[in-house]
Amino acid sequence: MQCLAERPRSVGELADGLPISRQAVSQHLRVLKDAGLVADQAMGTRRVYRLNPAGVSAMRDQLDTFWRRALDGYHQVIEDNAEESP
Amino acid sequence: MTQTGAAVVRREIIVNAPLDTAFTVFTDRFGDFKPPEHNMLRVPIAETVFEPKVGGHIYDRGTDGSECRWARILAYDPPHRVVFSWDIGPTWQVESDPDHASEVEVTFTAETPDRTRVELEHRHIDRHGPGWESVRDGVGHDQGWPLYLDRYAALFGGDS
Repeated sequence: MQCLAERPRSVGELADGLPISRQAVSQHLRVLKDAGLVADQAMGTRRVYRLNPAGVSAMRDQLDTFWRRALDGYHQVIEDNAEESP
Repeated sequence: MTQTGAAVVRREIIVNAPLDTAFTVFTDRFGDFKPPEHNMLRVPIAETVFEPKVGGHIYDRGTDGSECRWARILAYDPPHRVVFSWDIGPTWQVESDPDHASEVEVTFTAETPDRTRVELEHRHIDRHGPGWESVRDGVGHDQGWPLYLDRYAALFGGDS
């Protein structure tokens, strides 16, 4: 997963960087794919695996929360400001 | 929701302050309202600095003097608009590759002489690319953003 987090890779590339066989990598990928954590795509003769793009929405949710809280804090600072110097 | 929609966060708020004040508070006091969990230093944040110029940064300075620059100022047009990069990856680590950074635009519009509309758009979130699974594992469950949402909702008693 760490390797795929850097960029999409083929099975061969993944196996090169790991102390396990290509076949074992394929098995791991199949499990991850079934779990919805990775997606694969044919690119020419290769099959390239990447992390599932649905994750973008997870990050979006996180940032949405961040900005809700930040703007609420901002609102509070503005109100406090107005009270201090009317 | 479309994929494009999923890669943008939009928020707006109207504050009881003149345009100039609304802009100044946002930039000068960013550290006063930024959620405190947002800290990539190993020590507590002593201050957050928003450098008011294009090419400047937003950075946190820790109590031990260490610094973390996590945004680049891309546009600075007081009192109307500011745009900065979001150089923070999905696992809350500094993203050093600008191609993998998203960006935030904040615009300030006078509704009346005493009220200002602040619109915020955090876009190109998909540029951060993969790595999201740790986001989900790290903050997506009980102690993560659902908790923040509850806290946020609780803050809005009779306010607005």
